[in-house]
This record gives sequence, structure tokens and C-alpha cells, in this order.
Amino acid sequence: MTAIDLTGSAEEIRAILAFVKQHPAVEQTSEPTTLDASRALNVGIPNLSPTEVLSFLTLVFTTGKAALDFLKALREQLKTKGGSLAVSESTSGKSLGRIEPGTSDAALAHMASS
Amino acid sequence: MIPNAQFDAASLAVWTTTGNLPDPEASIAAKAMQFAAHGEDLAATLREFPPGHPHRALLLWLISGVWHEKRHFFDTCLTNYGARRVRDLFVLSANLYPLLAEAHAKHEPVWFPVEVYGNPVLRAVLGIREPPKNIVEIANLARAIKDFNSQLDAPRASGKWVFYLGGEAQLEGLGQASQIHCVEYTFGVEDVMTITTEYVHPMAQEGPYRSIEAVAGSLGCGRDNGKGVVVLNLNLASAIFITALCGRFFGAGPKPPSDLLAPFARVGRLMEEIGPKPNGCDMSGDQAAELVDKVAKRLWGRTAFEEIAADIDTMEARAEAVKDMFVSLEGLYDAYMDFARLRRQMLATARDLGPASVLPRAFPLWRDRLKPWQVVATPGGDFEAKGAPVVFGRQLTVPRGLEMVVPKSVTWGRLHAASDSDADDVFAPRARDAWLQVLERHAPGAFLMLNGRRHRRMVPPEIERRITEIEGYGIPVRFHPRFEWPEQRDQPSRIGEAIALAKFSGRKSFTCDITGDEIQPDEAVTLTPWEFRRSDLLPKFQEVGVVATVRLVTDWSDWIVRRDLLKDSAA
Repeated sequence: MTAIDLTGSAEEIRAILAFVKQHPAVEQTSEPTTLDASRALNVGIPNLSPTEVLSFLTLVFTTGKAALDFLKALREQLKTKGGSLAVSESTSGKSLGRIEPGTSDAALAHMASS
Repeated sequence: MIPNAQFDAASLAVWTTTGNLPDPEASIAAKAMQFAAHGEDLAATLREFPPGHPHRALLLWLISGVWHEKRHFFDTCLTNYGARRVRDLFVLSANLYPLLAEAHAKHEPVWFPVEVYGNPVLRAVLGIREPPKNIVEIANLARAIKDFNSQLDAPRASGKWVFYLGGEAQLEGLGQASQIHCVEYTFGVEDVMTITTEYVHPMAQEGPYRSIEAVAGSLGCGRDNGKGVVVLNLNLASAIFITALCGRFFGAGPKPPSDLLAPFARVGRLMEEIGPKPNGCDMSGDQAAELVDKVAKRLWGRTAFEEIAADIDTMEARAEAVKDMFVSLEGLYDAYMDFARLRRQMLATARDLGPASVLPRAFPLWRDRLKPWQVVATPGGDFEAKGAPVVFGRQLTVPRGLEMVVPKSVTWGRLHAASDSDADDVFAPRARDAWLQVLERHAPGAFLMLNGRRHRRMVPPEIERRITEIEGYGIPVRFHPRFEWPEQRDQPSRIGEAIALAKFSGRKSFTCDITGDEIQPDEAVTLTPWEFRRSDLLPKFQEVGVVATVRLVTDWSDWIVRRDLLKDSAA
């Protein structure tokens, strides 16, 4: 089993969810989870931009090859729709890089094999 | 960068710290912020910092930051959206106990955030056995709370712009506006101009603190003063925000229209109905409140005050039901009832004073009567034996032979509570023992339930102590890996924060916490306490020996280090 997390803004994750759910290589998909749900209200800090609220999806594949097929399809999707997503290992949270329209096959293979 | 003041909706406490400032500014500011929190006279403190003094603007910003947080205390108690945040955290903390009981009975670890139990995919990935129905229900409840609040707070994109106009942003807008009005009321227009230029304008215009300005502008409440400066009257925008925060969270039916409860949708609807006003710049608070009340009554059948009254009525009517859930948990039920009492007290006073009394322009009338608890945080560790009661701290085991150099105890948070909280004209928590339980135990429990350890708190031991307590019951604590630590930021964010901190605190350079080198702000990074402890700098730092060990236990402040020392530049 290979499990990876895709992380992006809540909007990016919502947008990608339908694509993920219909892709045959994906064995299981979690519902999106919000990462930063609890921020204290505080006094403003000048010169710092507001930070984005991130969400992630966990995807489970039966094989590494299935994961690679999916990541290649996702890259094509990003070429059409634009944007990029962070990829990480689901079991450890370890970052595997970002997937974007220009991500190489080798980088995708690395993401799928971990 | 840890903010100097923040409001904690779980315990209604205002936290303050000056740990990110150099001395002597830090200790002067700490004293002034304490006076502001207690509603005491600031004149003597400020006498040494007359207009034009290089530290005056920073000091006023920090003082008024406490007023900003008091405004959050006010809106959290008064408005329905604010009260909902408190209730959610109470519900989460109450549900920690069945979760712990189940883990204890099954000799299994407890997982945070609790939502992982309700997600079969996450359970499979993490190797969590299928939980009983009641735990899945708790997990689903936590997830529903999180999703709902995320929706209520979500920024909205429009082209390349992202606007912050959700519930949280509206609270920040009201906090910001009240802060500025308090500065004008207490110190005058010149000081307002200075701190606006220094501290407000550098904040993102579309961000949560300033989106109230955009709303005021689009309602025609701005006027060019002829010197290239647009002067805004925030009365109408403020009245809209307050009404938008008073949605119907009880009794609105299973699928209510979003503008009946969601702050963003309510702002949009009110703006649509009211439209730009040619005289917006001259609108008084009374006129603004009356106009918005009239429109709200027409749209939703109730004014803001009527919605608040109905919300408090329901909260009290449901008290018996929550009693079953809360009563066995020390303090939770009493704090809940004290919260309802505080809301009713504020509403009664607001009704006496009239609808315009809750607008930021009138906030100076409330400011010194609002006395939320103040937790003075010392993330770097305070080793003084004397002072206000310790709420976050610990005894240290001192190795033999080091008694003279290693302190016996360390404090990260002291509690300052008003001594006149029972007075009729003071708005403060009264159920002291109950709120103490909430502050020290239930609130950190709620944070774990909601987001694991992924919070940037002023003092991380606030959450660590709760984790240690749970482990002390013989229950191992586990986290979903994405929630095991506070956010790990990328290198550009850390550099950006160091530059912002230097500018904010008036430093031209920093001293590297590792090498002792003097470094320019753009050569530095700030690391949160957990980023440092998880970085490749840690082993090298530990080579220092016992001093390093003691510091890692006692010092939970941010680290400032030379940026090139980090190998994991994009951790």
C-alpha cells in the first residue's frame, strides 16, 4: 500500500477532489482535512501577510505504479487548470516535494515510491 | 513571530508577552500593558515617553494591543458568533474524557486530533482499530465543528485577491477599529496618525485587520481630506459587522439560509441592502446602528440585540442538557454558566446605553470596565520566586552540584485577575476556581482535540503539560503526523519574520542564539521553539552540555539564528 497526502489551499483541495475521486488508480480517498483550524485572535503584526489556511487529502494506492499513474495524470490536470500541490508521506508527514505542471517524471517516481 | 497580545476564546483570557523585545523596552512595555489590562492610569508611565520619543509609538501600539484583545473579549461574550466559538471549545474539552476512558479501558493510545477516529482512510493508514460508536460520534462532532468554523471564517477569492471577511476577520476588524479609537480617546489624534502610519498601514489591506476599511470605503464612508489621505468613518461598517456576527445559531432549522447565520453572507446581504451612502462619512454611531437594525429586522426579523437575547435564552435553557455532559468535569459547567451570566450582564448594559454603544467609537466607555483574566507569558522562562499566581510553570530537578546555577523552578505564565470582578459595573469572569480549571486543563484539552499539537501558542508547555498529564494516566499519546507539531514554515517565511521582527522592535541587528555573532535582519531567521528542537541545529546545541539541557527545558521563546546555519532550508 502507498499512501500520500496532497496539501493546498482549501479551495485548491476542493477543486482537485472531484478529479481524485474519479481516477481509477486511487483506491481510497479521505475527506479533506483542514490543517489550521484554531488560531488565536491576536493583535495585528505589521509587515507580515495573512497566512493561507491549508487543507489536505489522503490518497491510498494498492501499488507504487498506481500512485505514479495518478501523479502523472494529476500533473496533466495541473497543466490545464494551473496551480501546484505539496506532496507528503501520509504515515510520517515527510515532505516529498511539490507537484506542478513542470515536475519531472523522476520526481514523480520518487514521490510514488516512498 | 509570537504576537504581543492574544485572546484565547477557550478560557476568555487575554495573554500578553514582551518576550520578543529587547530590554529595557520589554520591561517598560510589560508594566504598561499590565496597567492597560487592569484599566489603570497610564499617565505616569508615559511621562517618560513624550510625543516624538523614539519608543513612544511602539509603547502605544503595545498598550492599545491590550485594548484590542479586550474588544475580542467583549465581542466573544456579546455576539452569537463569538459565543459559539466558546461553546464549541467547551464541547470539545468535555468530550476528551470519554475518549481517554476508552483508550484507558482498551490499553490503547489516544490519537489527536480526534477527527482521525471518524475517518476510515486515516485509521487504515495510521493503524488505528475501528473505534466504538460513541468515539466515532465524538470524532464526527469535532470534524463538523472544525468544518463549520472553517466555512464561517474562510477568506474569499476574487480574481487574484483574497479577501478576509469571515467571522474571525470581522472580530479582528472590530478589534483594530476599537484599538485606534481608544488611542484617539486616550492620547489624541497625533498619536493615532503615528501608530496608523507605523503599524496599521504596513498590514495587508485585504487582510483581516483592515478589511473593515474596504467595507467602509465601498459604502461611501471615506473622504479625501485634501492632503492625499482618505479619512474613513467606520460607524456603518462596524454596525454591519456586529449585526453580521449575531447570526441565528440556535433554532434556525436544519438547512438555514447562509445569511441567517454566516458572518460573511450577512455582511454581503447587509451591504447589498444598504448600498453606498452619500453621507456615509458623516454618519453618527446612532444613525448607523439604527439603519442596520432596521434592515436586519426587515431581512431576518430581529435586530442584533434581539438575536443575542434569543441566543442567551437558548444557552440557558439548554444548561440542564449540558449539565449532564459538563458536571462531572471539574469547573466546566460552572464556567459555562458564568459565561452565560457575563453575556447577559453585557447585553443588559448595552441595551441601557443603546445600540451605538457597542460600536468601536464608543469602546472607550467599556474598555476599563472589561476585566478579562490576563495571563502574562514569559516564554523564555521566569525564574523569580515571587509574583502573581503561577498558572504555567514547573519545578526543576536540579543535578547535584549545580544548585547554584540551575533554578529550582521555572514559570511561563502568571495569572492577573481583577480583584473587583464581583462589582456590578465590572465585566469579568467570577467563577474563579472553574475558570482556573478551564485555563489550565480543559482549554489545552480542547486544543488537542481540535488540532493536536499544531498550534502556535505563546508558551508551548501549556499543551505539553496536558499531554504529560494524559500520559500520566498510563495512556500513550499519538498524533496524526500532520498535527504532531506546530507548522514547519519554509525558509522565506522565517527570513520574512526576522525582518518584520527587527522592524517592529526597532533592532538594527540581532545576536545569533547559536554562534553569538551579530547578524543583519536579512541574514537571520526566526525559528519557533519546536522548529528549533526539530532542526539539525539541536544536536550541535546539545554539545554545550547541561546548560543546553536546562535551556531546552526552560526556554520556549523563538530562536533567532544565522540563516546559513540551517541545512534544511525548506523544512
